[in-house]
Amino acid sequence: MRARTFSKLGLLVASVVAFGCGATFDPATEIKSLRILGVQKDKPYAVPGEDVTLSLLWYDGTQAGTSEPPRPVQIQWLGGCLNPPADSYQGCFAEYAAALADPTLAFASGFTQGSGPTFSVKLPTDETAGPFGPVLHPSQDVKLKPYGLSYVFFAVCPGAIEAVADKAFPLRCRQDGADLGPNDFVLGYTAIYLFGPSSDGSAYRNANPVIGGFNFGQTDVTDAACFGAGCFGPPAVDPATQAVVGYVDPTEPAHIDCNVWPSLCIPSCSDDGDQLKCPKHEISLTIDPHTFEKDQVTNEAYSKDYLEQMWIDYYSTAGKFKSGTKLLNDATTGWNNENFTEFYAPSATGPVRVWAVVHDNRGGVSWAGTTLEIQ
Amino acid sequence: MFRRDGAALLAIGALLGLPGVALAQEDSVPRGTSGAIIKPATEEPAHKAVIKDPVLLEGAEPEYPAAAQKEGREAIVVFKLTVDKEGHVTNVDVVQSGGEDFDAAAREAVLKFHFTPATRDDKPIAAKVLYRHEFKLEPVAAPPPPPTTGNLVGRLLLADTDAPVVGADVLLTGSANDEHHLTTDADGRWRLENVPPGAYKVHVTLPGFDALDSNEDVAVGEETDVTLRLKPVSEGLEVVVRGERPAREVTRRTVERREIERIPGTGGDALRALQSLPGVGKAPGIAGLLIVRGSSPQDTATFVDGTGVLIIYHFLGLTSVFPTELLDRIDFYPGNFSARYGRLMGGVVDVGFRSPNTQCLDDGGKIIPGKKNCVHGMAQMDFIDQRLMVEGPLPIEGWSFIAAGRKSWIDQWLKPALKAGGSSVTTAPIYFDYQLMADHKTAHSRTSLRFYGSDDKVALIINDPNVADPTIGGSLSFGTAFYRAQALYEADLSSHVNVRANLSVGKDAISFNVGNFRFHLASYPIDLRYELGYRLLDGLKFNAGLDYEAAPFDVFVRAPDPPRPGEPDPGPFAARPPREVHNKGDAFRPGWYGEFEIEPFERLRLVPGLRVDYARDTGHIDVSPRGNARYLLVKGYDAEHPDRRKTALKAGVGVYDQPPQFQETDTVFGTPHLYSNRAIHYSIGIEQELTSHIEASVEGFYKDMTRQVARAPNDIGAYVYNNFGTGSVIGAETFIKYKPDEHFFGWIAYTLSRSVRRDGPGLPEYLFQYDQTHNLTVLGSYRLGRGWEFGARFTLVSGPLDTPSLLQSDPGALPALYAADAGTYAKLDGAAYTRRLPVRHQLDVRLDKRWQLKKVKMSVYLDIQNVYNHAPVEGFTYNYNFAQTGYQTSIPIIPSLGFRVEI
Repeated sequence: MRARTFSKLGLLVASVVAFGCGATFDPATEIKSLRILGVQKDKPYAVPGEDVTLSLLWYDGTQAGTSEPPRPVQIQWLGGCLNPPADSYQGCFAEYAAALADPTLAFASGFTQGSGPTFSVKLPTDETAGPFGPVLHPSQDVKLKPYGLSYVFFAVCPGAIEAVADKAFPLRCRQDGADLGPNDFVLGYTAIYLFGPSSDGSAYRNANPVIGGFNFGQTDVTDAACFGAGCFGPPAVDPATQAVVGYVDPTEPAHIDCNVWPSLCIPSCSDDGDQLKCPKHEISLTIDPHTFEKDQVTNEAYSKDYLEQMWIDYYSTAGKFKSGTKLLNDATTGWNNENFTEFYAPSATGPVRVWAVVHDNRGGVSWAGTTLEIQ
Repeated sequence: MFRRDGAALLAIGALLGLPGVALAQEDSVPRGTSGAIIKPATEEPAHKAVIKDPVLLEGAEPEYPAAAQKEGREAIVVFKLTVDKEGHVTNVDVVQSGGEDFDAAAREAVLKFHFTPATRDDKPIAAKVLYRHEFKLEPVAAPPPPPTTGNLVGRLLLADTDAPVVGADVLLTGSANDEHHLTTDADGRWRLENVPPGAYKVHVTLPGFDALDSNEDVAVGEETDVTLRLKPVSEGLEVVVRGERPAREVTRRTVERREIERIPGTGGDALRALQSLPGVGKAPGIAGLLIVRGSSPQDTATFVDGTGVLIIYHFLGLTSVFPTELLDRIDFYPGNFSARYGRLMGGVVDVGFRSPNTQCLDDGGKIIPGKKNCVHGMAQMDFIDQRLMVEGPLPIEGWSFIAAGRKSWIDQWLKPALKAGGSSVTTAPIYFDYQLMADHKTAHSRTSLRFYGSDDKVALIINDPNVADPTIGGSLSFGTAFYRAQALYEADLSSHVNVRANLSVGKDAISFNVGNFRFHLASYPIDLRYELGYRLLDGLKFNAGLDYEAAPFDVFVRAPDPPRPGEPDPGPFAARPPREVHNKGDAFRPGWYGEFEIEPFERLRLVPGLRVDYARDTGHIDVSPRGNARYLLVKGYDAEHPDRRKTALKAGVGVYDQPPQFQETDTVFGTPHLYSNRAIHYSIGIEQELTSHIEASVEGFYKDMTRQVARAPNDIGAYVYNNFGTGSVIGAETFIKYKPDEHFFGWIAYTLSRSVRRDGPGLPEYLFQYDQTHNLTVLGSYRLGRGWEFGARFTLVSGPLDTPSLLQSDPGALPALYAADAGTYAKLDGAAYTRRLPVRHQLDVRLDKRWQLKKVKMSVYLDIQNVYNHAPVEGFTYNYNFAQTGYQTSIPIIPSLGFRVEI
């Protein structure tokens, strides 16, 4: 108890000294609204002309704990923004606005739209880019390889996604005649880097992190976990027409069989996730320490062995984590064995979804999730 | 021309007034130029009659005959006078003639004599009297030779009451090191006459009072009169209160020792006291940045006796890198500074190290005049750091030393706190600084050899990265270090020529590492300054100098291109690839300047100057003309005009150029060959003495900024730097100051200003990041007696500017986009710096208690910042998707308890 008190005091002192005091918000780890948890590209580093497939993990926590049925959401993708001014994603806004207003307009690599949890975009070549090429442009640092940058935007909305001209980004989400705000409409972007062949003729690649397993309470629960697209919910189908009207996430996951997975069944805590009062449950991923890669592009430019910086984001629909983001690999000091975190149960009983999303600093993403039973 | 022979007349009177004295024989007239013998005209009676001699009642001096005087003749005459019964001279017989003209002159005189008659048995009788007079010419004084000397006189008064100070020791040291010891008289005056012309150093000491130094010039045939005011002794070591000398700048604010040690909220730190002066904005948080007249902190530089230093504050602005005890003065120039300072367009802080104190104290802690071979020490400790200082004489004649050091111990309590916060601490936050100085000082020169430096470092591993930007995690280290070896020589070579030379070599090192990003800089700056001042005529002096900066450097950077103020948020660092540069080279920035000090008449002072700078890294030459003027509308009080109060008008205009930052001209991160940023400073103001203790000043200023380095996308969309930025700052400063006396000091400082920028023609103008409309500081400190002193400082400042999210400026907009590669959100900014945060106000208090135990001084202080716990808003904080917002506040209350011992 004294250690915990000191720990809290230490946190307070450290944060006050460094940053002063700020307002208190609900933790980002707790999913209480419509959220995107991760977007994975099968090729974070690509070659001009390749197809890149993207998949999106989302969850709508708006109606968690209520009797309301899950909201089918629309998932919209926009691709084709190549090499915007200053490599800034905001440089794509005007192009997208023009393309949405008149899809027949010439666009850098061909305006691409899609829907659903996955999306494929064909990256341009100098030939297909036409007057908007070349696809690869030199870096301001001449040591770095020429590169191209293609942005893909996506939107998740429980209503209707519409093009709009008077917003910073030319999309809006409307429901019942009103624009939905940031807790119900999530707009995001991801970048695909394009490189020519490396010095040995091979392509520069960046593999997504490899997750080998899921552990809870220091027990391997991999077989009770989902990975990648396996974590997506089913499409929502109109019973009458059998048409897909949207997508639902597994807001009501199947209850865990506590006889099979006793470690995933934990008691509720009347103090609702309070770190100082609730029992802790360790949560971690099994990751091969060799999953981190060397940054081949900058290493060739500067003749150094830079490693990737990697981290894990943890999320849950209820309960709290001691730390929502944990260092996995440091570019300087290497692997961090203390990449696990601690989970503190909520006061409410029932199923709780948890996810762990692994990032590297070159656009690589992987995730895994499971369900806990709070008793 | 001639000397009256009063002696003879007196002799007569004396003899005539002596009753019963036997009369001399007629022939016994004495020789010589004085004396007379009276002989009665009657024979001595047969019986013993009582005779009284006549007594001269009225006499007259014979006129010296003009011809004789012209011819240089002298003579002696002896007369026998007959005095009748009425006492009148009725007959004159010549006993010894001096010549006709002398006899006539003497006769004319004696006939006017009137005596009391002589008596016999109380009956008046006639009598004869001998009279002798010598006509003697006064020696004719030779015409005085033309003067070759002058006088130096003065008066010493108490600073608070103007009462004369009696018994103070005044040591006057001439240019030949000739020393003159004087003591002030009952009227506080001292006087040294007939001394060779030249510069004299006046050093005044009196136990219980601060020593006083003043430099005065003595001119041939003139008398230099100086009035000095003595103040009760300050705490700490010897305090040098500089006399006011005309500055080459429009405004120079000098903070005195007692003030900087006692300003509440600063922990007794001298350089943090600067933030209480007019024109200095409040820095965000507790950072020790100097925001001067609406300029960026990087536009203001700090010098140590002319040598630039890397940093002036340790971590988080907790304390400055130079201990207050070592400082002699802090000169702060908020604008329109002299041509001797260049490559800056904001302000200048120039601190001076003092000379070592070797004065000896008696058992009562009072200075023993003339005894200067003693060693002093000081130790101080508070929650933040501990420091030691020793000073005293060196075994080499005339040399003395100071050795000082400071080391933090915040690591003792911050390390566990950081560990508890989830970090693995490799190197706990620690800083130290050190100063070593050998000094040789005469009345007219000073040679000082110094070695000083500072080191700050922290290293830790953050296992819980920042949620908003996960690349802010992992290994994190930060270090800044510098050292300088500095040689300083300043001398008055004659009454007309002075020289000041400064050479320093050293090293600057900055190391920053967070996760995948890093910045390492090692440079070896060589600074050379040399200034020669030559007084061409009375009222005309020319100063010429060179100011060279050279720095071999080695820099390594691996980082994403940072956004500039006003640019769109590029999203989390995690979503952007880094660039890398490793450069080695030699920076070289020479500068030359010349400046006149013109006093066409007593009250007007003009300082026109010109500075030329070259920067090899940009390849450009900057020519910066400057001019300042000061007119004394009403002179200050003096002994003859004790009620007169000084009124001075002042104005200045000048060009100030500042080369671009390193990253702005770097080939990887910037755009080579940019021009220097340029600002034209205008200022006009008035200074008014209200009482002998209170002075007020008002000054308006305007900065017209052109050629500012800005950034915009080029033809292919890449951001490049340019010189299209413009801006301006307009404002006014009011300063009302109560100068320190034995009880109180304090001031009110208020600044009103507006600072704007524009990133290029046709682009919108916006308020600058550091714009602060109102800035008020009221402070005071009062000595309660018995060693207690209480002070308070109140500040009221406009809130800082913030760039709102789009949601805050457009309720229907999304505030942020989800940046998938980082797993966090990127804020969509509204218009830059269009939201003002709430007004910040704060009260700081300080309580000191001092003891004197013989030669040992001890003190304890409690300094509490933000005593009523008003949390100042420094910015906005947001939830993960920027949908919710709240205030980010700075540290609410900071108490500090310190203990200090001096021997």
